[in-house]
Amino acid sequence: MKYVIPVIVVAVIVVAAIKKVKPYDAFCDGVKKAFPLVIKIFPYILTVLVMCEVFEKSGLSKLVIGWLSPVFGAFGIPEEMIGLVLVKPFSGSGSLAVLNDLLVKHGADSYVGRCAAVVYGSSETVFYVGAVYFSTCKKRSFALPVIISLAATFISTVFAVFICRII
Amino acid sequence: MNLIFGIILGVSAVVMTFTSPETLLPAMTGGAEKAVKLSFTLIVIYSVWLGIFNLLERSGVTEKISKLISPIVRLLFGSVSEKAEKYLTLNVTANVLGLGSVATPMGIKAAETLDEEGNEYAKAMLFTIAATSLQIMPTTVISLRAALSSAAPYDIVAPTILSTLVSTVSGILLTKIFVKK
Repeated sequence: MKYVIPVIVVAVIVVAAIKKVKPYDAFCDGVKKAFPLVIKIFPYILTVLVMCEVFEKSGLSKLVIGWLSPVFGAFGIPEEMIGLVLVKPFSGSGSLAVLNDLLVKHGADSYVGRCAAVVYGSSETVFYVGAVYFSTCKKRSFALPVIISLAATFISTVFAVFICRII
Repeated sequence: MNLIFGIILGVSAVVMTFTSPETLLPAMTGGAEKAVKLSFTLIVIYSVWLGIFNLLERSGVTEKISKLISPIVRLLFGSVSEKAEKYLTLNVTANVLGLGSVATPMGIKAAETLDEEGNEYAKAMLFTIAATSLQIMPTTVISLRAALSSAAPYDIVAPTILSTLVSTVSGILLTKIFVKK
């Protein structure tokens, strides 16, 4: 995998030379779009991250985890995993911290450790992706897509817990 | 989003008023600080990738890639405008290659274009594919497990790929069922 990026960059330069594109000018013109793009999405990223942080620090996220634990148990998801499953949609760095805790506590090669690794690796920070992708949209009707993505993530979590038991 | 934000922030603030009123402001500024740090990281990443992407566009490569995988894009997103299709193609390609940082700016552009065109179905599909993760190589997890002296840090790769396939496929199916074209 480590060769992907160098190969892409070399290919881009070579193709540009063949097509007689001015590489310096073209690159600069592209960079020009970076700042405005980030400034455009900044308010939305900030608002979502403030919400996530307050939700976590208030202890409310822990409370919700407590309520959901019987539901998750019914689907075969171990209790230790609930924190990770609930934090992941909100925070990438937060869930990485939770994953690290689980790996240290249960061991990297334990069942819980492997499950946690698979769940972390196969899911996305749904709310963060939503905040970023839809940041420039006028119609912000993304309740349904978010619910669908969370449902799909839940299905794959149930699957991951199951497959880690076999493999 | 207004509803989610209102409820989560409102209820959290009420709880903190009773449990630890002095931590509300640090929590809020802490979240803001994360956002600022993230924005700087994004500026760095986007500058590099938008530069490279512009080279590709000027060379006419993006058009060729679009044509190549446009059948897949059409199958997933239905009929979309040429402009939207270009961004969607690049977003999906980058996502599959595990280049999340490239996928994001293209995804934002695609969502913006689709929004202007009022294409809610394609917008929902774009989001679902991005939010269910198509990552092929969970490099962070592998390095973390190796650092914690796992005997076989790579043994989670196969189950991870299978799980991520399950999530993306079920996301696509759910979108096809529940979101009107």
